[in-house]
Amino acid sequence: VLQPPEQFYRRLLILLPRPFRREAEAELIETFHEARMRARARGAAALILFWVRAVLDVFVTAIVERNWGQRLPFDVRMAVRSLGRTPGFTGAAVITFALGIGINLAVLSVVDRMTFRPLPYGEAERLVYLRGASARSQPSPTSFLSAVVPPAVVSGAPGFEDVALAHGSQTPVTLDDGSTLAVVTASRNLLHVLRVGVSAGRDFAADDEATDYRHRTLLLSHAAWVGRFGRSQDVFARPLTAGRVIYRVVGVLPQGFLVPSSSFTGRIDGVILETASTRPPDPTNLGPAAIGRLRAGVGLPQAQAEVDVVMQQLLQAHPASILTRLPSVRVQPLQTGLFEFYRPYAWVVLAGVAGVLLVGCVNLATLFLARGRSREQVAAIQSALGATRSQVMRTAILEAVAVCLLGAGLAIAVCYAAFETILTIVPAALVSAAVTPLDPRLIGFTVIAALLTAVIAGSLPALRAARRDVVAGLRRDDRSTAGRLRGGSTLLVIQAALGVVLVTGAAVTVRSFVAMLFEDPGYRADDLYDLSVQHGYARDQPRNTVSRIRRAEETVRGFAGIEGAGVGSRFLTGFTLLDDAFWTDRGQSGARIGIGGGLFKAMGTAMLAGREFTDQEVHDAAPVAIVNRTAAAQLWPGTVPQEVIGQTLTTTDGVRTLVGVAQDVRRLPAVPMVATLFIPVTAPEAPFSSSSLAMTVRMMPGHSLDAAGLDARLDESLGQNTLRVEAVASRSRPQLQQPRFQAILFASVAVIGLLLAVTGLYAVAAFDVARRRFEVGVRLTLGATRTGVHALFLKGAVRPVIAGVLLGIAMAWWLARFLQAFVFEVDARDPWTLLLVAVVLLMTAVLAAWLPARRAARTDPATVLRAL
Amino acid sequence: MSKRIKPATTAKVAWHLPLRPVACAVLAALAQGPRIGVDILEAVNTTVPGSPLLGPGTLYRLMRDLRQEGLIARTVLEEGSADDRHAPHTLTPLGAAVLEADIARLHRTISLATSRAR
Repeated sequence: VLQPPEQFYRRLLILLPRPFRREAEAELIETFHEARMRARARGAAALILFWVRAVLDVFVTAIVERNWGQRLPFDVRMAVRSLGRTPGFTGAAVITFALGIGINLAVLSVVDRMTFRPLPYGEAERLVYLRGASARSQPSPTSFLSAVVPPAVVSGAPGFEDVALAHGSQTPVTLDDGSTLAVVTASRNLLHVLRVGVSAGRDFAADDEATDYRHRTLLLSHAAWVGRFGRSQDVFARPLTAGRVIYRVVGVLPQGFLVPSSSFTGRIDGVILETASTRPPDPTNLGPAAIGRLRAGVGLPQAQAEVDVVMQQLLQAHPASILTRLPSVRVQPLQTGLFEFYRPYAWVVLAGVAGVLLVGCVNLATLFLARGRSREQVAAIQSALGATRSQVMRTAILEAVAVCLLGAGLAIAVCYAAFETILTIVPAALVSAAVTPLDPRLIGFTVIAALLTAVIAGSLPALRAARRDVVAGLRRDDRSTAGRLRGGSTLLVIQAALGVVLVTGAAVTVRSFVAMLFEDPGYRADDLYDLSVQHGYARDQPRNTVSRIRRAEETVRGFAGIEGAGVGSRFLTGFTLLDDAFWTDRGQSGARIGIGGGLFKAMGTAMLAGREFTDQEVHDAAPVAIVNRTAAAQLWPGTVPQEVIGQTLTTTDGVRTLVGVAQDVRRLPAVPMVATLFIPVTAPEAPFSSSSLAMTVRMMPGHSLDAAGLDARLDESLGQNTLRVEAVASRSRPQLQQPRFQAILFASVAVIGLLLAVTGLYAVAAFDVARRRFEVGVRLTLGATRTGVHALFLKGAVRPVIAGVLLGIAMAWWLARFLQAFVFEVDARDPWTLLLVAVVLLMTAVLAAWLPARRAARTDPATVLRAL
Repeated sequence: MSKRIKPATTAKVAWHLPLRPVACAVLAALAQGPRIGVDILEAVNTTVPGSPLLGPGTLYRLMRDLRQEGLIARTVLEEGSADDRHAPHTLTPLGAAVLEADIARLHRTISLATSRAR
């Protein structure tokens, strides 16, 4: 008695030719059983591999033993000739499949690296990501790490071989020749830790490390080296200059180098070496999350335990520092860490396009089913002339294979040609991880998907063709009642259901995007600039002082074209820790930010009640405070802003009087509002940035900011300075990329889904009309009206669509829970959206069935009946 | 392997050369004594990287060809056994000679290649 796996294997052996099977079956099954037992003993992975090989083995043996290789050219010729005779059908089928697979290929080339592909580093399984996690009950990892942690881990955690840093956010450097370089800063050992070599020149060396901002060492990206410098070796000899800063190129990064940082912001032209510190790392400074390389044999739990011990020691050594806000460090595999924020998004996108592929498959099956029915006569002639059943089937399947491979080829070609265009709509963060569609893995995926689709879509009509009654087929029996397109309605139901799901997804994401575009951020971004005044050229500088702040304010406000300016501590663009002690003491979450006078006016943010700080209050570090609307509602629920002015608040420094309530400012699109307490930037409790002063500047309309002039003026009043200027509008634009991409993607997915549904419906309706010509003739002869016939066919075609739409609404309702996380201020289960989608789909169905139904109604009864 | 090859069979041996890598691996697996299918499958799959022996089917076809060429044979079970299809396979003298000749050929190729490469 055979066990179930052996029984299954025996069934599979039916593919082999009978004589071979008779001779070998017993021995094959015995060998299979023995080998399966041994594979099972070696574990699950071995067993899976064994099954894959065993099934493949049967297919290969069948192909060779049946000599299909020799017959293949003939069969292919038959299939191609038969497809060529119906160019309309072939074109529709090829395009259908190309659309379905093409959008999958395009999306996969963007998200493959985040979901399936291993990282492009040497021995990547030993790389980990170290990121700070906050103290809240649910520690959520940030992209930051206190600057003291990496050196402490290297010296204190024996499981770590080395730790490297890469600052993810890129800084554009404008060179003296007018071109810009997008660069990120990294530690000297980055390439060494990643086990990645340079493709030209050399890696960073110890003596490259300068303590001075003006002498930087640069590794160019491969694309920049090829595209901008024509692979020239001169680039290593000739430094690039940007004002007072000199960039020395020492090497070229490998092709397709991926900066290991979870906050990557697009393609980079190079990596610059961070400046060496002249002092021990400052515990109040935040650095980027770090990349660690574990020693061979060290597991994640051990690494985490070692880091926990190091953190305990650090917390004891630096009790009052940023460490208390990020008291723990999470150790993750590098790939998980890098893509943590994007992975769920990648899955939603993949699910969307997989839906399209599914619709494409179903559609192709419908098309082939209809075609199979109309080709029955050909099949019957083939059979009558002595073709075996397997030959008839082979031709039918090969037709499907040819169509799918053509579609796949078309999709690959179009995706490759349009790759750069695709990348312009993709969020910058995803661009750096994208791979070209000509990548062997992706092509392999496309071809396998094509073959699978072909087998699934082609086998149903193939089986039908093989079972066909030869005599009936030859008689061209139009009256045959067995002629219904069985399976056709089911396919239409599935197609309509998937269509509803895709279109609903699109409607929800597009609405969310529009909401995001038109939301009020709480400030006017035009003519608004973010300044960062770095003290001097070296990295380590004393804290800001009142006199420094005052001089900076005076200099900036007095500069040409500036309408207003205020000190804002990373107010708009930076990141804030939400577990500020002021708020956590009250069991809430929020931020505490130090600002100067005139900031809200400069930003264009309305004061809902009261006023903002005066310069005098700020310079005197007066005991005053401002809250935003969210904070006011959180601290004094049920009050209006005017009522809370004059209330007192107890903070670290003592009691503060509330002087104003400001409008909420949304730091980034679609980010929830944060309760914020504003205090004078000079207050001892205000979290200063130790090395830079942030200011917000509004220009007079029509004026642009002369950054170089302002830099020179600040140098005069404050001593050596480095000024960084960024337009606030340009800062928020990248944040809209992801929702825009999502909206464009889902909209195209929906359009393609609808198009496919229309083709499928049209094919089925047209087929139905052709099949029932005789019936229509009889009906018309017996007195049916043309309107009646028209309605009859419309009803027949639309009925399965109604069922499909109902099913689709149920599916969309269920799937909404997954989509809700990715949309902004839109209910993914909005009944009006669902209703609208249902109406759109039904209208589409009516339109698709309209033409064939009209053709049926115009049947000339005399012609049909004469054909008897 | 230690058997002397008769001069008359030299031509026969040469006719089978060069062996395909997978055939060579199967003969090598049988060189240590008679074996049944699953043992051969495992021996080949663990020794030959990227082995083309996917499973029982491909192995069976290869063994059939080798049997027909006279390089291997089934061992004879005891008298009266109804079914000899489960009998282990063994190398024939011709098979052993061909394996030895192929190994010698490979050695010559490698030494030639290494001497040129230096």
